[in-house]
Formats: sequence, structure tokens, C-alpha cells
Amino acid sequence: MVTPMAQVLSRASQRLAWGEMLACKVLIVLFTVVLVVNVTLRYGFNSPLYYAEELAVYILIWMAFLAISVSLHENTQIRLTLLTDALPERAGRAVVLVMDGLAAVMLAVILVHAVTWIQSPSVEFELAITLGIGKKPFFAIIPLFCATGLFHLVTRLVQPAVAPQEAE
Amino acid sequence: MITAAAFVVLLALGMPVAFVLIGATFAFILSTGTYGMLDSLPQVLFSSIEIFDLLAIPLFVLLGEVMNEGGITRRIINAARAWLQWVPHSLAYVSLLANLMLSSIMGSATAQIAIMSRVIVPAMEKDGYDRSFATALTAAAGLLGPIIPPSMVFIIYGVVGQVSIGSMFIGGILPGLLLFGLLCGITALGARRWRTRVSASQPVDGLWRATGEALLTLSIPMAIVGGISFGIVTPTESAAVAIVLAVVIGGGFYRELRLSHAPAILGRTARTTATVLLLIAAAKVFGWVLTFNQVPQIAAEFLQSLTADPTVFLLLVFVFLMLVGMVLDGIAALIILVPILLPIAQKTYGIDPVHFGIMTCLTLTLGLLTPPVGAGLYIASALTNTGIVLLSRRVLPFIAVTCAAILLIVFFPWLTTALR
Amino acid sequence: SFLGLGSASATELKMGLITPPAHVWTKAAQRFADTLKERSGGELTVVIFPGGQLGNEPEMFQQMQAGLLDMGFMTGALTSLREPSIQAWFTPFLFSSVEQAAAAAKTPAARQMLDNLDKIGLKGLGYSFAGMRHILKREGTVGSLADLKGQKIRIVPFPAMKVWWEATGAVPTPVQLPDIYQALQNGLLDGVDIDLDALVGSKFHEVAKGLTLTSHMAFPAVAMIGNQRWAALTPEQRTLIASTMDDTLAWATAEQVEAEKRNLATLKAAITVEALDSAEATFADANAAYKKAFGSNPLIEAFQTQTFQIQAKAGN
Ligand code: NA
Ligand code: NA
Repeated sequence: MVTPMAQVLSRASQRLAWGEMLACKVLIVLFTVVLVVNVTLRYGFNSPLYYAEELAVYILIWMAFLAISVSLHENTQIRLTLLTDALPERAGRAVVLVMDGLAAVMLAVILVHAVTWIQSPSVEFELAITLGIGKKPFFAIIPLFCATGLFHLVTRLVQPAVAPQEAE
Repeated sequence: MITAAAFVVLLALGMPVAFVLIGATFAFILSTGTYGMLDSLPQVLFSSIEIFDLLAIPLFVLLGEVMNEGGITRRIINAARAWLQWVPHSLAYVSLLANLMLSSIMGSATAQIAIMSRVIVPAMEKDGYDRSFATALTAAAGLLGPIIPPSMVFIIYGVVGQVSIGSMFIGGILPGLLLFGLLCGITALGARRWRTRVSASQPVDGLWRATGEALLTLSIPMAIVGGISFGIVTPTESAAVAIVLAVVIGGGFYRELRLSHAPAILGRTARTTATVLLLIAAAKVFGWVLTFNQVPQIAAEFLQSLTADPTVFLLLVFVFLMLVGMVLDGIAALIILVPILLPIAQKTYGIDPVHFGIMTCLTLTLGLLTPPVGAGLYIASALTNTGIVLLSRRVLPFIAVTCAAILLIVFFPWLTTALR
Repeated sequence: SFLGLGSASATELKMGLITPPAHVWTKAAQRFADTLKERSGGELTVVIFPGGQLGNEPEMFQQMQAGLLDMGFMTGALTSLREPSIQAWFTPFLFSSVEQAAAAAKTPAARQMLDNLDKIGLKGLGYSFAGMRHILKREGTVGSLADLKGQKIRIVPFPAMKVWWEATGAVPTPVQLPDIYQALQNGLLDGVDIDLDALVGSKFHEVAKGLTLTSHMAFPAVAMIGNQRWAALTPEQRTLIASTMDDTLAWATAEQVEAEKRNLATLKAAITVEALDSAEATFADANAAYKKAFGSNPLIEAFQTQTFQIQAKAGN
């Protein structure tokens, strides 16, 4: 039985994941281009982009956490399904539900601490050294990821229509 | 105790493995009452992937995708098969040889596993090999990466343990060849069983035609090898450059790669990276909590109270590091344990530091393949779409021969010192 | 103690640092731990986490500020991001040796920099010095700026060093520490800005053959303790920690002075070593660039003035 509320949530989760995935694709192209441009400038013109490596890493981090959030929407993180497969179907599904609920609780705890962390004064001193700018905008992906990931997880919990993808 | 219990229970009940690690971390924090650790957790999570070398993972995934879609992989494999058609199960050996060559330019097992999983496994599957076998073979051959010089782990060992990196590099050559030989042996046995459809249905192209078709594609491995050897690019950058080449060849020359393929290719790259990097991040968080509470340090110091015999000590270290490698990342374990174990090995037991180093590095690198926490296993599993449990089982014989190689190194120290 | 189940009276301090076991800062940390334990009769113990076991320096700063990690030897490079006056230590050619740098640690301006750390929740206990910085190239030494033109030189990426190197005509290139060895070996890098201890410790003389002694910068670390932890200690414990740290840092300086000689002997036997006597004049443009970027900070100016004064006194 699917309630209208769950439907709204599910659609929102889907749209969010679509946007996150689009951003991932753009970011992958971006860090590849940054590295190629750096090699070209360094080898061809002897003037590398001083900040290329650092920038590429931050793009990677953003891309990775956005993609991880999508993986929580799509339920594609690796898990062992040996035992849950052996259980009767309803019991197996209940166990998976409890496990995902626990994962959601963990994500919520990290979210609370991440929000506190990103607002703490110590973060203001963090500098992306070769870029010469503060690291706060890059750090922001952690609370953002916790929030979107939690949203995707909770949406899946209230509407467990999608069977978990088997690891085997 | 509570940590270990949480780990096992959550894992068995089907929680995603990354969250199992985070759950074990939480259990540890709860059981020790060190709630302050939670404040630092977000930053540890961020820093755990703030590592330039990790870019190699999405880059080589993307390279593999582009090469496959652009018809490049197929041409390379066809040429290799044409040249080696008289060798039974040639493709399995092509894979091992390619790994050996790649090892001589790459320093990291994870990057090498990422490359080869995408390049060779689909080809082996097409050639009739069971996918899980091909994946296990590829993951195991990736261990050659950091044993044949150059090697990231050897460099880190050299710096942490104050041992000549050059000697470590030279010391790795014979053990690397030994491992290669053992892998060839186990492959000969395994290929017979796991190659279900022998390629009667797979006509081999004419030698010259296949070679001609593949010539252009050789510029890709050559760009990687040459670029790194001549100091034009770092191994990570070599992937980015190779991607551009692969796009030009697959799109411009073979005309098989189209712009319309891009979204799907990039999507698969993002999804694969997500799986692997979340595991790496979670493993780092778990390792950080253990280190902070000195669990590995205390265990290492306990070791030396057990024996006075150098060989027995080395065997104990081997078993201990195998256990450590099951749950900790190899490089983290190296940084934590070498400062404790090496002085004991040298002063108390008179063991040669290069001998000790090669054995330690190989054992911790093997941790990449041992469940439940093994980046190499996860990467190969994600990249080839092989179930993690199935792969863990299939990789066991390869783990066994690697253990045999390590034991041979333990008993015959000259393997690591003869070339010096 | 294991899992935090120690005896109630003992206080355990966790100290983190980025350097490997053989580095002078790690040795100093170890000596500090041993001495403090002895002098406090086992009441104060220190557990050391070297080699970045607990994370990189930004992570350790965060952990100290959160009260999780108690103490650290943090590089001046990273500390200067949080307290800009620390850049004063990287004034080019201000010191010709580790002894001179250590002497400057006693100036009021240097003490003021430590006091300023209070703003970020830390208490500065003193300075320790890695060796003076020189230039190692794969091939050849540096006789003039022409020898550096367009050369890719690895630097520690922080503002003072970046500004200085950019003005030399070389191409400052950030490369991760574990990658330097291979980068020198295959020619991705033409050289490194480095101290002799790190050079010998990381075995770069196996892959790069020309060392030019310039002593263009000092490279301090700041010994520090988190304010939360400091406040929780008794006055006697604070005095004991401060005095033990002072003694340790003095020992470390003496140790480093000896290490400089030893390292130099090792390197002279292994590779080409040349001193660039006119270094300060050769790098005049780079020195001016540093001055332009950082010289207007009053505490930095005060530090430079006070350092010149004590050097003049010692010289006479
Ligand atoms: Na290698
Ligand atoms: Na493992």
C-alpha cells in the first residue's frame, strides 16, 4: 500500500538523485579536464597549474559523496545477502529494513555532528593551500551528503517497493 | 569485543558493508565512552578521500569504459589472441603478462586492479572464462603492482622504517617474479576448470589483420608507460591523458564511440566510484578509531613476548599482519605498525630490514584481497559486477599461493637480498 | 591505557605529529614523554602518534581544538594558516643556522606568536627546528638563477614558500610527499626545496645528485597543547609540562645541530655538494617578494628587528 505522502517523497528522492547524478557526470569531466590541462601546460609550456592537483581532489570528493548519495537512493551499496536470502521472504525483508533503519540512524548522528563541525570556528582556518581559498565550501559536501543520503534512505524505508539489489 | 560482535552481526544481517564499518566504529565509541570522537568524525570522513592517488580509481574506470565502448579493448584482445593462439588458455596468461608489465610502471595495486578489471575481465569472459574466476585472477595479479618496482608501499616503508628505498625496489624483483610464477601455476590449474566454453565458437582473426587493427590502440598503453617512465605524467595523470587518447581513437578513428554514449559511461563511472570510495572512507574511519585507542599498537607489542626465534617471530608477524590486513587498510597499517615492529625485528631478532620490509609489505598488500575489508576485492567486484561473496570464495586459491610466496620469502631471505 | 581503563590518578596525554619516527620532532616527542613520566613519577604519561597516524595536520588541529587530541608538534607552515605572524619564521636568509633560529625563539615577538594561538584554543609551548632549507636538484647545482629557470621544484605548499619560489623564475610544483622519490627518479621534478634531515631520511640522494647549500629558510614546528586539556591540569602539572618541554626543545636543538653535521657528511660522501655563498644576493628578487607579501605585519616586523638585534649582540 502506497500512501500519497510516500509517493511525494519518492518522487522528490528520484528528482534529487537525478540532479545529483547529473552533477556527478559534469564533475567527472571537470577533473579529467583539469588534469589534462595541467599536464599540457606543465609539459608543453613549463607552467603547470599550481592548484590543479588540489582542485581535482576536491572535485573528486564532491563527485564521490554525491554519487554515494545516489547509491543510497538506488540501493546499490555492497552488502552480504547470504543470510537474508536464506530467510523466508518477509522475514528477510524485515531484517533488511531494520538494517537500513540503523544505517539511517548512523547517518543522522553524523549529520548532527557535521552541521556542528561546519559551523565551528576551527573550520574557518582551514585553507585549500594551493588554491588560496578557504576549505569551507569543499567541506560543505559532508553535511550536504548526510542530509541527502538520509533523505534517500528514509524515503526508501517508508516505501520499500524497490527490492535491494543482490550482491551475488 | 562489542566492536567485533557489532561487526559480525551487522555484516551477517545484510547491512551495507560500508555502514557495517561505521556501525562497528559507533559500537567502539559507545563501549569506550569516547563520545568526543564523534565531533571529529565528519572531518575524518572528508580527509579519508582527500588523497590525490584516489583519483586513479574513477579515471581508470572511465578509461576502461571509453576503451570498451570505443572498440579498443576488443581490438587489443583480438591481436593478443592472434599472436598467442598456440598457447592453451592464452588470454589468462596475456592477463598475467600484462599485469607484470603494468607492475613495472605502476606503484599501486588498487589502481592496477581498477585498470585490469575493466580492460581484461570482459575480454576473458567473452573468451569463455567464468567471470568470477577472471575477476579473482585479475585482482590477485594486481598484487604484483606494488611488489615489482616502483612501489608506493615500499616508498612508505622506506621512509617510515629508514630503509633504502632503492634496496627495497631491488629486493622486490625476485619475490615479484616468484609470485608471478606461482600465479601462472595456479592459473594453469584454474583455467582448465573455469573456462567453460573453449573458443571453438570464437574464430581467431588472421594474425596480420588483427595486429593491423590494433596498432593504433597500442598508443594508449604506450602513452601510459612512456608518460610515466619519462616523467611526463604521474601514474594518476596518465589515466586522464589516456582517456583523451582513447576518445580520439575510439571516436575519431574507429567511429564506434559516440557522444550519445557519454551519459551512460559517466554514470557508470560515478556509480562504481561511489561504491569503492564509501568503503575506503568507512574503513579509514574504523581504522582511525582503532588507532586512537592503540589497539594495533598494543597487539604488536604483545607479539615479541611470544618467542625468541627469528623465523617463528616472522611467522607470528605474518599471521598477525594477515589478521590486521583483514580489517585495516594496508598503508595505514604500515604507518602504524612498522615503527613498532621493525625495531624489534632488527634489534631483538637481527632480521634484515629489507627482508622484513618485503615480507611485511606483501602481507599487508594481500590484505587488499582478504575479506571482510579489502579495497582490491571491492574494486574488482564493483568494476566487473561480480558478487562480493562469490569473488571472496574464488580468490581463495590466489590468496593461498600468495601466502606460499610470503612463506618462501620468510624461509629464504636471499630472495630479497640476492640482487643487492 | 588500553580502552581508557587506566588508574584514576594517572593522566594520559595523546600527542600527534606528522613526522616519521627518525625525525628530530618525533625523537623530541619521545624524549618529552619519557622525561615527563619520570619527573611526574608516572602521574603524567604521553602516548605519541607519529607519522600522521591520527590524520593530516588540519585533522590534528581539529582534534586538538575538539579536545580529543591533547598535544602536537605542528609545522610552522600549517600553523601559519591559523596564526599569520608565524610566517615571520620563513623570512628568507634571516638565519644562517639552526642555532640562530633557536636563539630567535627567545625573542618577545616569538613568545607573542605562541600567545596568539590562544585565539584558536591552543597553548603554544615553544619551537623546535628541522634543518635549514636547501636546494636539491636531480642534476647539477645552483650557481645563479639561470640554473633554476623553468625548473620544476617541489615545495611545501604554504604561502611564504610559494611566494618566494615563484619570484625565483623556477616552477614551484606541489607533489605529495610519498610521490617525490619517484618524481625525482623519472624527471617529473627537477629538484626539491628541502632540509638535510628530510633529504637523508627520505633517501632522495639515491635519485638526485646535486645539492646546493643555501640555508634560505628555517623550518620550525610549534609544540602545543589544547586549551581544554591545559585548563584541566593542576598548576603543578602545568609548570612541570612547560619546564619539561623547554628542556626537551633545548635538547632537540642541540640534537639537530649535530644532525646537520652528520647529514652533511653523509651527503658529501654520496653526491655533489656545493655552498652558494652569495645566496642572499642571488635571490634578491625572491626576498623582496616575500617582504612585499608579509613584511607589513607589525609582529613580523618586530620579530625581524628583535632577531637582528640579538644576532648583532652575538656577533660582537
Ligand atoms: Na610496481
Ligand atoms: Na582485507
